[in-house]
Amino acid sequence: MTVPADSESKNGNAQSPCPSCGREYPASEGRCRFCGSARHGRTPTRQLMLWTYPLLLAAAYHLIAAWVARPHYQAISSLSESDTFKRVRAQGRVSRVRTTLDAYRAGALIEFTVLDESDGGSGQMKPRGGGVKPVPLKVKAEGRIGTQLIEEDRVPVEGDVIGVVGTLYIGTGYRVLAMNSAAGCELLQASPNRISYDPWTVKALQGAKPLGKSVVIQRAVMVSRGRFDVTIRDPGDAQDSGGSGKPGPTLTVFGADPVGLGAGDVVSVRGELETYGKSGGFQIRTSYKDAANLVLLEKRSTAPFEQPTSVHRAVPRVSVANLLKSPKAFSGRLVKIVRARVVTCQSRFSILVTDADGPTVDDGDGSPETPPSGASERNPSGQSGPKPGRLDPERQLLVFGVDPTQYDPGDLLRLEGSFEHYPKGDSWQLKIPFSGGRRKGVTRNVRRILAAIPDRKTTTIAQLLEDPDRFAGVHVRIKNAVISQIHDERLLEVSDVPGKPTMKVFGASTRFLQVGQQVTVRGRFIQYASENTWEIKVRGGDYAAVLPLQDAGHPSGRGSGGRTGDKNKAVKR
Amino acid sequence: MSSLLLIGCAGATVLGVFVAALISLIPGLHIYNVIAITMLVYFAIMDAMSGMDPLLMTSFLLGMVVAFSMLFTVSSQYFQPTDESFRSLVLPHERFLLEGRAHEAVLLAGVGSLVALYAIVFLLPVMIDPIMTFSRLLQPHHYWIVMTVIAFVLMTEWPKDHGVGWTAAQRLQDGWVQLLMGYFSFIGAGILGIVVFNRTLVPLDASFQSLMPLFVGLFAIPTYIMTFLTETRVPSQHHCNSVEIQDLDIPRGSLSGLLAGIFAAMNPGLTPGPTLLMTGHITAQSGERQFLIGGGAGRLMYYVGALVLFFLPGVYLRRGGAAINISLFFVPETEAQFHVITMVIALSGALSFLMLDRFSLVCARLVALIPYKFFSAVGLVLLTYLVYRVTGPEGLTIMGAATILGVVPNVWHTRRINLLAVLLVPIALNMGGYGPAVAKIFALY
Repeated sequence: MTVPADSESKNGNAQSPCPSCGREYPASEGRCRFCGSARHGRTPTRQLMLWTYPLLLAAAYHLIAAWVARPHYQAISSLSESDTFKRVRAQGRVSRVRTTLDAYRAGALIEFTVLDESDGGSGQMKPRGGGVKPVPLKVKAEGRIGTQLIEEDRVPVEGDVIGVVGTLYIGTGYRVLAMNSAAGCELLQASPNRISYDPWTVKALQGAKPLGKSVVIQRAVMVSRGRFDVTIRDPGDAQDSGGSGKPGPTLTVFGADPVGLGAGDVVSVRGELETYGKSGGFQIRTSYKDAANLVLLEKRSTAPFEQPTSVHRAVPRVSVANLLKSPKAFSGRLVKIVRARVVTCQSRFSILVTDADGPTVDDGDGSPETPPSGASERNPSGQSGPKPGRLDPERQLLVFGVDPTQYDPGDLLRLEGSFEHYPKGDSWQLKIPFSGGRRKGVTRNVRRILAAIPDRKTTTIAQLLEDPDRFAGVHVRIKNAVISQIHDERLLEVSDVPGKPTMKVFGASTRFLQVGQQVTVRGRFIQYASENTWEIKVRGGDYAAVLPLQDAGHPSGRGSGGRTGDKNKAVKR
Repeated sequence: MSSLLLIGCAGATVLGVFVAALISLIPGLHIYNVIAITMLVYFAIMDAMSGMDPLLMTSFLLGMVVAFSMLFTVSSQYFQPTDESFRSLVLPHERFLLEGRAHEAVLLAGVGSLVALYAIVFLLPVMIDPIMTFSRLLQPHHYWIVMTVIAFVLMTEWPKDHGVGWTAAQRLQDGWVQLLMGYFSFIGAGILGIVVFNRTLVPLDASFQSLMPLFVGLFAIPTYIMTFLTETRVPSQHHCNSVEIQDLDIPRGSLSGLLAGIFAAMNPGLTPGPTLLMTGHITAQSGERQFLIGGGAGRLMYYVGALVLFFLPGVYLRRGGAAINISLFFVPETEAQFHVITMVIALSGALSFLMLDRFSLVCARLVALIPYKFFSAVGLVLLTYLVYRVTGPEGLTIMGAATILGVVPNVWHTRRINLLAVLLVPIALNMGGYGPAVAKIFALY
């Protein structure tokens, strides 16, 4: 379409403005005598504007396409070395997740293994055709990306089906996908094992107290730190902003690894809310093994940089003898004792251990193990009975933080904990941090390698009395009994419930026990030859054989003794 | 992708277009300067916006880039008139202004930009594989291509004009001074580039903007200075409602512009200026209208096309300051994101072109009401502050040195294209493997 000639051009002498520069010149002339523009064959501006319509249509098309577009995933098995350095989007099932902090504690380092769903994604290397094992894809989210995943509670868990995008690095035997942004990890199908953490604030937790719930506090300020615990409060409190108002409530997080963190640091915390102690307080219990549970978001303290003990610094493997030989060299460090033998089980959260190849367990009564017949002769004087667990400071180490009812003298254990000086007794101890054991009182930092009593039976007194021959000579455990009578320092009677038939228990110290107290009892069920009666004989060195129920458990608070018990322990020991 | 995010992206695009239109009123600003300002603001408020999807900010910036690529020359056209006594040649758009038909020049450049937008929106997505192949083929040859461009720039200083003067000595001097000063500015800019490329003169935290003081000093500040010195009177501008476009104007002009833009986008160190000079020869470009259309197409293809290479699935070429800045907070990942980016370009391009007519009218009225030197003063203050704010006193020092070099072409009537040696020389040397050896000569290595 072109603009027709100006109407005045019909008259040859008429002046007409140039359509380009606006100056007038004779309409009969085809071109402007000033600027040289043509009067005819011009394209109107309005027509030019119509040319934008295709663009607007294209915009609408791409808008819809973006709305309906779904990402395309590549099978992990199809990735090859030619894909190295390429950006790849893969889909698979997460088989293993490891969250630590990066070398500078600037952010989290999340590593997870992804397998094609056809490979099971269970973490098992299944041989496929030709016996070739599928190589899993290891995905890394490092620094800010990892931290963002944690902040947004998007860290995958085992069993999740995810889509992940990043830069691929493939070599012989490894496939690593480095994520470039947190948006590159998309949860496609959640695992049934996924723990859903509800976001809370400290203040809201103090009010609602959702005990037993998995909670996450996405932003909190550290108030103080201990060895395995930190105290936090909400950011934005009066103290935080330098004001003089009343400080907000605080909350203890137990079980975390706060190395390198200090008061004032902004952190993200997650774990399970639970009560502790007799005071009725509550805390977030967490595990230091998963660094995602305590993540530094913003460094504000002047706490010196330290490598996180649990992750990047190799935990030294030592023997008890070596620890006790040069204790200062290991003071304050996390150590691992790979083979320790339980010497005695103390009454509260502690056991005494020695090296596995060290002296054998003291039987206490100075006699060999009772014969299989189950007959026994009690020494009435009690002098040769179990003595209080006295520590041999050169050979034995006190391990604190263990539920003594779970272990027996003679058990071989693998222990991991913090080697610390115990000022009260001027001795050294291995302090076991709680690390999220699933069963009550069991910590992953104490593993039993060999059980001294592999065939202990859990029963009741009624069952024992009903068919004593069946249990003769067997190590038994009565989970819940009531003390009905205390005869002397070594002899007491227990029953299932008050008023029911009783059973004698010999060999346990009755010093701190009371009639009517609920206890857990363990020992060998034998026939007392002189009186021809049945009794439970406590093994030598087993000071946890008769233990009040409220004291059982872990000082973290799984038992009602809780962290208050920790303080009591210091007095009692 | 959620519909809410898509609506947000469209909204951010429209906002970006209007912000770019507002900023485009200040002549002499470069899109990368504008992005630097935006990034400063964005980083300052990043914590407050941490929950915001980075695609929103990307849409905003992309909308700005597209709109700015189309509109920023309009204010320069109106507010920076040329004084012939300071220039070796008057470019077509400058002549159009002096003839009172700047609006037509604006529309012609806009047509070129529109063609480039068509190419970007409709052609680039279906040319991913050829682009990848071309990019891979080109990669080992970048260094000699850049060197060829250098040779072309140096060659086109010839043939020199005959000298004018009363005496033979005067004629000899007049004949050679323009050519020699052209080479002088080339060598000076080249050395400055070698220094800046081998020494981080600006503070480390501003190193991603290390070239900003250089370009502001070489091109923007001298233009402002010349605008202050010039006594040219801007005539009354005619707001035409049609443009003269001949049959071959669009194909030839836009083809030369598109080639120049692609060439500059895919080769490091090149800008549309010298490449347009070269592709004009390839496409037998002739006439002012083709030059204007080519300029519009080349600029948009270079600024937007280079940025789109970053978003094309499988290509991810990070060329130009806009892509580098956006890559600081956004990495394209999905097909949906690519569609969003294309939507943003198409929408902002269409809006910008629709605004072009009115925007030009506003500029024409402003230049009639307010002395054009005022706009340059605003631009000068703004850019100087920006350089200081981003790169500190060190940046101002570099800017000062570059400004001295930048006024040489105006004083001795040489071409400003020689100043691009600031990029071409160090990049060619580094790519050819001679960079360290040359840097040693200057005790920089």
